[in-house]
Amino acid sequence: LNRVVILGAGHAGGSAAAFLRQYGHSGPIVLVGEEPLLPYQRPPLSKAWLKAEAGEEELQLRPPSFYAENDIALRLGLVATRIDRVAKLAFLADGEVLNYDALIIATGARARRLSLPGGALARTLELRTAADAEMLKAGIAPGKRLVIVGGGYVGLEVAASARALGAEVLVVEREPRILARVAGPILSDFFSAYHHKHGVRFVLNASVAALEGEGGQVSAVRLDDGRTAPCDLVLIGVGALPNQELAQDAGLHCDGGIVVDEEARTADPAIFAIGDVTRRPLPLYGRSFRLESVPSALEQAKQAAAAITGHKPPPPEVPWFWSDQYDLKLQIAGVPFDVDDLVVRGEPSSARFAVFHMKGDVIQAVEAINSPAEFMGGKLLIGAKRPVSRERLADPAVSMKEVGN
Amino acid sequence: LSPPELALWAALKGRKLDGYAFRRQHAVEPYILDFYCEAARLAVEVDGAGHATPDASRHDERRDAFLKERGIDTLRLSASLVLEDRGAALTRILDEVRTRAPSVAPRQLPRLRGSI
Repeated sequence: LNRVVILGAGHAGGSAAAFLRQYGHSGPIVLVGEEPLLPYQRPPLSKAWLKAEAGEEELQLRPPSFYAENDIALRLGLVATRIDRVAKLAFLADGEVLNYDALIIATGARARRLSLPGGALARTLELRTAADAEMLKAGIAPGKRLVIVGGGYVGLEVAASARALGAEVLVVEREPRILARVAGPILSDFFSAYHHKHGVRFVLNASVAALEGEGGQVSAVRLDDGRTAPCDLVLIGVGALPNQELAQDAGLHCDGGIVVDEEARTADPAIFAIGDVTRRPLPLYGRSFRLESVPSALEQAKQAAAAITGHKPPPPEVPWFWSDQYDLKLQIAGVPFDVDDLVVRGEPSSARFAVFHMKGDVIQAVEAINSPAEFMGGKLLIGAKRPVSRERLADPAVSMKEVGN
Repeated sequence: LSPPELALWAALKGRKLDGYAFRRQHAVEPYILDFYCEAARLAVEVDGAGHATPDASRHDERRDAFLKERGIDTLRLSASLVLEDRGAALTRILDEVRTRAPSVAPRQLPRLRGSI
């Protein structure tokens, strides 16, 4: 009787429950989720879901019958308030106590908040949950003026969706370029131009000083240089913070995320942590990082399920990410650590190109726009750490299979 | 302590259960209570298979009544429940003490450092 309790029912937690059954775990599984919803996918919230191209059912990770069929007990609308590591117990907010033999913390991340004057005005939104997306969707309509604070992936994806729905969009970014923390300058320039072409306006190098309101609702965004932008709706998308407090209070080591090993295990052998909340080793790069991505969450869900059921861990993976904006499909493989040069393959003006981040002759990361072959080929080369010829790599006429050195 | 009692004690000692203080093997002459929470005036008894006989259950009733006269209620948990689902057993204990002594403020627990 080996009970696994999973705290967090997002992509990571929901998948861990499924992998445990797939790997033959026969003991009880309890899945605890803060939102009153079955596990669902967050990425479409800023894309297909916002544009009403996907509904609630398409968002669900598994059909509702899956949990009963696989004997996965759900505790939805609940959080754990405390862990007793000595007695191996998790305490839920409604007074229930769950004993565990293995605990998986998958509490995810939350939207970073700005403490701004006027920050509590209505129609000042963030986007993390389906409930957030519902409010955002309700506010976006033709002619509505949306100000997005933060030019990261969430902000730009919402910008593209909002333009498709006919809203006016202004993006305010603190850095001199959009995607400053998460992509290279070539990609920043490209996305900037593409969004411009679709009618999105940008203010760069600008911080928000305050939100102004009328009748309790936000009516304008005031920048620190005194300019104001009138609006009907504000979305704050300035990054996410790991929900690590539960682990921290239980004495588990946290350092910008719960620190875990290659098996997704914390320093406590009975406790695992997976997904956005973790700082995880990336063996390929010999360092640790907190990745906010679905593929990473799935990978760690597999690692934890494998460790709990006594299976071999999955081989080290190449991290990857994606973003959809307008008719652009961005796919990124790898993380650009220790990069000394870039190789561009294809012409950015054609909206079909790839940027390779090089460490010597080895590809560390690839950013591919509408270029699935470059993404896949790059991902394989990154995983193999195989040196390539920069000349051949830069030539789109040479197949990705033939760029090896 | 028996194995089920040990399993409970690991969760009850040191005011870990929401700040409620429990004693084990607490004497209320002529009886010895498995666990006792003074703030909630609650006795927690872990009953093994022996408690199923008619004799034993008469004895349990006399004992519960004796304690009741002194303002102490008894929560009886079967040893098998405690062993199979200590979470469920602790949920019942927590529910009882919270109902009977809601004013006990959860104490800030000391942070554990490193692995155990």
